Amino acid sequence: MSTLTLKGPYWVTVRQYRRTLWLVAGGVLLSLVSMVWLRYWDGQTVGTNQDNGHAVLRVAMDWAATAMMVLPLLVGAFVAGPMVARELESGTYKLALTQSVSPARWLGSKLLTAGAVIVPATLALIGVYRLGWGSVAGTWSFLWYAPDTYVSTGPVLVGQVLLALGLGALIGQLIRRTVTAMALTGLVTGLALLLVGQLRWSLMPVLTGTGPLNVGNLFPGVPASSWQGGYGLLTASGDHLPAEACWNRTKEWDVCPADLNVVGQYWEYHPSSHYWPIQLIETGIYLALAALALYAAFRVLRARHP
Amino acid sequence: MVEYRIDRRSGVATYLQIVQQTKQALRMGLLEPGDRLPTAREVVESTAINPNTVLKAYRELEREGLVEARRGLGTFVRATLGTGPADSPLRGELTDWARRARAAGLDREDVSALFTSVLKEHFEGDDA
Amino acid sequence: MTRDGIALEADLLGKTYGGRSRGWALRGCGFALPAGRVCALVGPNGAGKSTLLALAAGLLRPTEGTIQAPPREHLAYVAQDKPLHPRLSVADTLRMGRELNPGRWDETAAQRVMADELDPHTLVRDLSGGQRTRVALALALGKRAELLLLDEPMADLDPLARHQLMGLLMADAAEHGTTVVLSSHILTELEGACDHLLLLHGGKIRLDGAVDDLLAAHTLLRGPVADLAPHTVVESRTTGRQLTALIRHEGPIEGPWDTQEPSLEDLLLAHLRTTPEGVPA
Repeated sequence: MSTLTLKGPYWVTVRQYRRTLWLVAGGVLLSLVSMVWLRYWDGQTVGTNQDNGHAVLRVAMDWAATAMMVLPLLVGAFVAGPMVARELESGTYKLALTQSVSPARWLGSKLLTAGAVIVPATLALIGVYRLGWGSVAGTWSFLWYAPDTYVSTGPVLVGQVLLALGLGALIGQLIRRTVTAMALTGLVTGLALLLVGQLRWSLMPVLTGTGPLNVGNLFPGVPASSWQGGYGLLTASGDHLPAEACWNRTKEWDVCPADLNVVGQYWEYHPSSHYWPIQLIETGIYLALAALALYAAFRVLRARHP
Repeated sequence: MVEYRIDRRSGVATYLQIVQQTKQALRMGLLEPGDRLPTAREVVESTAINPNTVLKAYRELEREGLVEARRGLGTFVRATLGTGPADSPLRGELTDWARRARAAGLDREDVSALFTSVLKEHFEGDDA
Repeated sequence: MTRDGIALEADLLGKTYGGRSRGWALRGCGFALPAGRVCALVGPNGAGKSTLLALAAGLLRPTEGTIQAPPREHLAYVAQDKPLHPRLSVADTLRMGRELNPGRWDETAAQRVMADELDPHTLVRDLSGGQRTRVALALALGKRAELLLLDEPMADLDPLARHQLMGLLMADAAEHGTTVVLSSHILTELEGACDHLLLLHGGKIRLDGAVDDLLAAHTLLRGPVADLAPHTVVESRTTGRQLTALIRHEGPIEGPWDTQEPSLEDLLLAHLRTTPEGVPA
């Protein structure tokens, strides 16, 4: 974190937020050391009756995943509040904008500095998480598609923090009050992530499996690790009917009235091989939204400051 | 080198104070031909007055032929003013006159008023 | 861009915060400040001085009209509240000046303002008001600007520091021909240092010109009550049979009056007492 080679507004930004930078670096390092230690402990006690190491690792991984979900909100709040709104609220922008640096360079250098710290830090945290994930992957609550695990293990989190950065830059300028801007950015970022998250499993066509009626819920041909979507009854013409369509009439799951023309059942799923394509598409959406937010942020800046 | 003291409450224009103080220094022999006057920068840094005021005073002194500006070097004293006050015969005569005025019963204020009115009569129109 | 020889120029300049119906902070302002002048921007609190300076500094957009000032690189601005980053040290703050003004930063000029008065390791948040002013002025002078815009620069300073810093400002103006605009609601702070005057009252410009010209154009007279035409009466007061008036004279003054050139303070007070509030600030 040497400030020796930095120039101009980058030096100023780094100097201004040096405490936060040390905090981020310290946080990443601490998480790495803890994870290495947990994996070591886990490895020492594996297979014994006192596998406390593994239990502790699972708890830690659970907490870590939750923390990773909150990470974009923290980033957004920090950019919106301390980095942008506070300068506008306290009046230090008057100092910055009357030096030989244009407003766009001023905001740009702040955001670039933030990005240059946040992206590697996020990647490092994902790496740390994956380090622990190796031991718990695929077990209950650590399936690849569990929302927190899904976010904590892939590039989608990088997209999320960058979207938060863009939203922070925009909202910080519009609100100009540190605390309010932080809260609002947290809220808006949370909503945006929730909305895109809702679309997640529609980003790629699901695979559909079919089979006879009498197999119950054990869908043959669907890998156990798959994300399971909708399922129901299949008619001779290929139409999908709700799973309970027969039961409603006959009060039996496997017996269907002839007029429904049911020939079997279907089930939709994403195999674990869809993990990467979906991660990448979703990341792309976040990046596009982030670009939009940043464009708006610079438009607002230009409108406010000649 | 002279140092100017500006009295903002004196009612005398600032540039005139500089002119008068320079002349005073010339009379007292504190400044001699060839001496450099302080630069405008030096004057305003110590007095916090407007630089143009100093330049105006220096122009006035130059107009009177007391100093000359040499481009890039500064403003230099060209001439001296009057004679040393202590050994002037005029001073002797004035001393003599003041003694007689006192003997005639005039007090300080009477003498001062009389002196001022004569000054005014003889130097009418000569500013500074 | 400004015209040759003009450092700052406004034409029909108006500014309102949050909608025209909410009142004008500044309206219909026009002036041209020649380069190299030290201009006092005076007026009561709320007259629009800070708004005018922020417009000149490019921090605000005019609501109407125009203001032409040198570009950001060539002007320095010190806001009234002397904003500085509280968690940077004094040394870091000056380093910031160098980093943000590459190629034009003058460390000597900045250090002259600091005058070894402050420990460079002190954090800005631990400085007194006067010390903050010193750092803010060091940043402004270190920038080697053509136009210095200083909003109430002397308000927090003790008399000694005020004299010293005013001296430095004047020295900078003398050496580099810097145009300086200083705002204040206390005239005595600026008298003697300024050779140009902008009097702002109720968002409008009431007086604008070189101090010497303004003083020479006005006369303070005392005498019997009589018609003062063709002169413009700025302010007049009658006590019994005696008239005291400040006029802007048109031609020579003939009459039984005792005349006198007004002081800058006479002039300002007379204009402030008699100009209507015009626009609420």
